[in-house]
Amino acid sequence: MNLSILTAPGTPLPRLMLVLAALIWSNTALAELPIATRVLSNGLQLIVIPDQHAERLNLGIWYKVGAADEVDGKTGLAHYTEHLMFRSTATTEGGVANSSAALQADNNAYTSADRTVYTDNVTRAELAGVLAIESQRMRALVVPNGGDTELKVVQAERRWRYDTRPSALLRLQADAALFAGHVYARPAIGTPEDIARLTVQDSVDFHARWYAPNNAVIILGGAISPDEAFELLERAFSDLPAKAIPSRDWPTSEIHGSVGKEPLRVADPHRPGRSFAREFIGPSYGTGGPRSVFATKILLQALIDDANGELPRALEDRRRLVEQTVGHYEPAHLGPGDFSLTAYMRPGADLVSAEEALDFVLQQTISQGVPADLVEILKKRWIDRERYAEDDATATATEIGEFITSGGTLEQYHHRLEEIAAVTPADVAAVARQILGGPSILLEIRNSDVKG
Amino acid sequence: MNRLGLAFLGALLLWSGAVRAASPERVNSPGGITAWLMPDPTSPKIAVALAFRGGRAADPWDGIGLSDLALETLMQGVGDLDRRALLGRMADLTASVWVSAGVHWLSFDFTIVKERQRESIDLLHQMLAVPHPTDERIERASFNVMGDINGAVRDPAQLATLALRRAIAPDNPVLRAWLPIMAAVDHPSRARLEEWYRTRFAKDEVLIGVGGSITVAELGPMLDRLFAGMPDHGTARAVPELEPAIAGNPLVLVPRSEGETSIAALALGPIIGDPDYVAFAALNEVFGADVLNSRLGTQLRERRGLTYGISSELERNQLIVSGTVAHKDAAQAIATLREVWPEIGRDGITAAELATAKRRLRENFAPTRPANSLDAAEQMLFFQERGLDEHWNSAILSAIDALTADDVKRVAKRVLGPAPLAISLVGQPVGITPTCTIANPLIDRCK
Repeated sequence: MNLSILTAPGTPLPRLMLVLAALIWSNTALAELPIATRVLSNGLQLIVIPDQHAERLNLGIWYKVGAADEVDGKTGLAHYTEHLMFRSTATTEGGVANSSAALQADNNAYTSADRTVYTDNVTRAELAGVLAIESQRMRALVVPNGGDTELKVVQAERRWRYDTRPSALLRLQADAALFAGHVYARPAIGTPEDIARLTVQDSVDFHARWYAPNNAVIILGGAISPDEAFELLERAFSDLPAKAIPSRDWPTSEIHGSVGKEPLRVADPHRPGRSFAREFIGPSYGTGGPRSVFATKILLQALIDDANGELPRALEDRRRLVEQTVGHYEPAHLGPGDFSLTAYMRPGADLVSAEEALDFVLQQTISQGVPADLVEILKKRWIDRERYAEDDATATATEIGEFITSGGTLEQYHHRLEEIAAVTPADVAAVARQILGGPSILLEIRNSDVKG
Repeated sequence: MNRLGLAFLGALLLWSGAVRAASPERVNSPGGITAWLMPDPTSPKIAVALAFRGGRAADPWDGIGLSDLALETLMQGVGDLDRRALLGRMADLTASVWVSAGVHWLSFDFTIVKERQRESIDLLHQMLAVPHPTDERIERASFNVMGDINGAVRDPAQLATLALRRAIAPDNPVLRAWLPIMAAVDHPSRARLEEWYRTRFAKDEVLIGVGGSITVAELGPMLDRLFAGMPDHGTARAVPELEPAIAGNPLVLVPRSEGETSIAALALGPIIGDPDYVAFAALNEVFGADVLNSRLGTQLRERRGLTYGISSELERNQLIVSGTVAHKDAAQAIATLREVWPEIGRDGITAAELATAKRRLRENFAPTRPANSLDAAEQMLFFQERGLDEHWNSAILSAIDALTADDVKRVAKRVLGPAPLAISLVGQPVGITPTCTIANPLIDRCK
């Protein structure tokens, strides 16, 4: 559920990085990029992040709709709709064209469980023209032709991303088991059977239901003044009508985690050697709020940090079973987040011993938490990274977009450094019990030539 | 200065800002080291981008991969600090290091905090000028590099490009450098690695770009501290570009059990510095750089829905197409590719295509303000790696402005057709008649 799906391959969005710079911790405070915001009368939220370093502007249209809003039997619809948005008709000075040709600019989009995001990298001179196109495709999805061909493209994407990669399919299977009962159990890209039956009309209806100014946030970062930006944005979007938006209250109480004792196993010809992973359910901005998310980030570092993490020390140094330990935590969700730990085996080492060694460290962490001095070291390094970070409007825009579309507020965003500083060892111990003590699933991946 | 460097547009696309606010300064240290500086006194950081001449391509035949191993070993420990202690120290200093063994250059990016400059530079000096490859560090590095290689040789897309390059010019040292057969990495000897450091890390082999919060007066002494004790002269050799020699229209098939077929195609064009380079870069934009709106994207994806992604990119003087299709669609995809290939050389491009290409080239070549200090440092290095002067940006902008549709057509005629087209396929494509079938592109090659 966490894999975002880009319209075009090979151009990932900037990685989530907390780029801030406010005070805390010392008096050598740096100025944070000033953030200006306004809400239009139709409910469209505008956020402008002026940054003189970024001459090219970064425009993001963040829709609060994603794969989690699909209904059974129509999985993949949010993503297909995102693809069709590039075939939607737009009128420009040059005539009528599809949006993709009309936009010209460096643009892309992605769909995840929680959101659908369209990005354009534009010059100041191009901005008004690009906003006019974005406004037209926010108003209506109009796809006179090519919808069937685009479905073939989406099917090719599913094939490329999952069906030709056994370990990627295994992750979908793991999500289905771990999040069973929740909408996150469904694959964001859709099942092959559902995708095959999607129609342009399905997408037109989906768009009509969800795409609206009051269900979107526009974030513009770069060398532009807020006044100028607001004027252009208002001109392009203020006459769009607000709509009644369906509820996005996905019950989390239904998660029953149909996780068996047996690991999920797969052989993948593209992956060298052997690895195993344990996946857990973690708090998110939506379910736990910033404090619990930050405590979880510290927990993850305490486990896998190359310099100080307990898992590298136990599995790589002391037992020499594992070559590398990595972790993944994605909190930018309205519903539950996910938290996973992956170990890449040393050739010839015993897999079961390594799994037991990992579980032993996790049990220890559940019962004893993370040492207070390690929590302090990890917090200090984190806050230092933020204090000394250079201005970066694009990274800030991504971070704010993910935060806001996960239920956070700008006010909370402004206070995130205080919130990091306030995390206590008790907070970390609490999320450790919650996450590591909760349901989890074990995955084993080996190269096809390696004996199971 | 030679004109070797990393993948050209790839490197350019890393830029998100650029060069108008300040102009670069050449700084000569008291110890005789030259760097190009683009200062930004408002930044809390200093960034240094270094490149030692002669990357993997300068490794000897019996030592392919030594470059990767040598750089990876540096990251396994510095002085008495083992890997974990080193990483902890860097985290405490808020310093970061990124290393990469490219085909032509060995690259380092350092970012440090101005306030912690002295301790940070001391650490980096030890890493770079006093390498300390213990057996344990070499073994760990060898594990890591072999892991990367084992991943690369299982990737059908990489295999397709490799098969193609070997089919065209099997003995070229640049292509050799792409071979992930790195016996030297698997049986590393400490003496050999020590010799590698002595001959490759030398003051006359390094180019330096600097950005961030440092002045001309401060930079000289900093450079002398960083390079103190490093040999003055190294022995890296320049490596020739690929010779344009594609014979016939090779269609290489690598039969493998895969979920779909990976396609690669390759043509050779002018290198940066050639008067036609800008037209070649524009040709790449129109032909295939944009997954959605290029000729390739339009014909294979938008009109036929044959693929999620097929696109072209420039890697120095190579125009490389890569993408994937279902096995059953491979014949149609190849037929379409062959149809699209000579079109631009025959019929030229439209005014709209020219305008879009120019726009994208300006975006790539004319960033105007560095986004951050590392960006500035990399730009400063970029000019030097290609033997260009500080005015190159404005020269290339004039060339982009002056570019005509006829220029693009002329270069397309030379590069895309009727010149031969080399194609390789990895998978189980249906309805294909290969000119040559090889089982393993790492070992076999077409006769």
